[in-house]
Amino acid sequence: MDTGTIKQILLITDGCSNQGEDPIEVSHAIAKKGISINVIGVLEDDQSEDPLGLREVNEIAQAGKGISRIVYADLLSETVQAVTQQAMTQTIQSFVSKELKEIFGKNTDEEDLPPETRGEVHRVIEDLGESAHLQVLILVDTSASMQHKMEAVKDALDDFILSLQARTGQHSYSIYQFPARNQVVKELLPWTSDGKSVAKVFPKLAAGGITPTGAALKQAVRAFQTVPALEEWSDEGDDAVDTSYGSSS
Amino acid sequence: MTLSIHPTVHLANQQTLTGIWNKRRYKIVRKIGEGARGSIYLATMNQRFVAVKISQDTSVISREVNTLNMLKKVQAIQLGPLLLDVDDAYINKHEKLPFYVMEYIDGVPMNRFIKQKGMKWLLPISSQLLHQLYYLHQIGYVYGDLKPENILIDKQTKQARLVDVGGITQFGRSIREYSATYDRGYWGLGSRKADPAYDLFALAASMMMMDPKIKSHSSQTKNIFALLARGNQMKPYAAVIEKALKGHYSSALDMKRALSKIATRNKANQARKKKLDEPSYKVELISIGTILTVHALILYYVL
Repeated sequence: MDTGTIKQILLITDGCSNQGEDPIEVSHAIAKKGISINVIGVLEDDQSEDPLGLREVNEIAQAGKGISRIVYADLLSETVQAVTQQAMTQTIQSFVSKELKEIFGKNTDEEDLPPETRGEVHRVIEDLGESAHLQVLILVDTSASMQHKMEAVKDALDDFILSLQARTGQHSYSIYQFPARNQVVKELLPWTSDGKSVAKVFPKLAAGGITPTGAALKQAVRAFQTVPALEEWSDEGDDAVDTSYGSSS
Repeated sequence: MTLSIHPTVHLANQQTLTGIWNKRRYKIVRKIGEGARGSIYLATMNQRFVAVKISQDTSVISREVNTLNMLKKVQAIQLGPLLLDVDDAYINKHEKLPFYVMEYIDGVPMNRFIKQKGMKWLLPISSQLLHQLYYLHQIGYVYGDLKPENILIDKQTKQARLVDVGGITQFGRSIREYSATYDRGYWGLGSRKADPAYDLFALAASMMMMDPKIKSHSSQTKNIFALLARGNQMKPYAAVIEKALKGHYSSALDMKRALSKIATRNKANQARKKKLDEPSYKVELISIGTILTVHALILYYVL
């Protein structure tokens, strides 16, 4: 059984996109290409859980066949790790249940198996999860409102990389920010598996401007080189560049 | 499928769960725990108390059942709660969920136990835990999420029991569940790859947190050694704790031996103290007595 590489986008944001394409549609399209999108919504300290503005967080993840969580900044570390792990298990699980259907017939779900057999299936899923090649693109919202949460984001990513390094299987990650000066997204760190690179990247994470989440997702996904047919994506809307950065280019 | 669901499951008191495969019936008494992976209920089966773990996330149940079955291989001691049943049940008309049933351990979490009964319990509890960790490590697994909240002291037997098996991880794999304060990765003192020293670090950190002064400062520093130095109550154990934090014990038995040395020394010190204290106490009484008598005599003669 070959699961190949598990590809994920991890989006860390604190609210609604306000420019460019509909992130939910983009997310849906990306999921179709075999990349799941996990979204973590970061709350303000005085915000109640599930405020209206963060509803989009759940919708993007749902469209992207990923996992979403809405948390306060101090819980970010544990959440990043849990979300990634869970999404990976889910990807493998859906793959395995497809296989099950092939073996036992169309209407077989994992739940239809007796508990003991299910345990065996789970062991396989777990082994695959530990040994599969995991590729995570981290996309960080650096709009103005995220400014004071950047320290927590940095800690969370440091912590996440530590967990990645402990895996048996291979991994690689890259970090993108949005918005950036005269760009929708900016590559901060190309694909790497080096644990020490995060610290070098973070001083560059200046925050400011608008939140073009949809456009940012669409551009960032290009980093997965093996994704076919990028050409069919129209470039319309990609130029959701914040004009407040000035025109000194 | 909604993917942002919370894994907790709400069951009503007095509700009955009937297993679809094994047909056993469980009557829910009350909720006793709720976490990131599901809910735990106290229930009765044929007038006997049991604990029922149920979760919206089916993989959680499969994984923990696998772990509990694996723990049965250790015959020398009971590691983790005893697994009694695994089944699915309809929790309402539409929703079918998997659950498992384990023995009910009527206990108090280590942090509350020590707060109530005193620091003298720290050594015996830690030794018991190291004994259990030794057996777990023997079969190639680490406990992972070791923290005071996961250690129950049985009210009857006063035995420490590790109740949550969700973090148990095979050697060499990535620790699947941890809590920052007890995780060596968080403190910059090692990787998150499962090895015996990972558990010994977590145990040493758990011991430290029994000192209220250390606990209250734990989020203010990222230097765990500086933190250790803040607590007076940890002085007798500081050397062992420090060694465990640094990963210098390669086996749970080594750490256990080091702790029992402290225990013997403590006892010897106490005994010596007692010996010294008793006579001096008497001498004082005699001298006070003498002084009083002399005074009385003087008074008698003067009058």
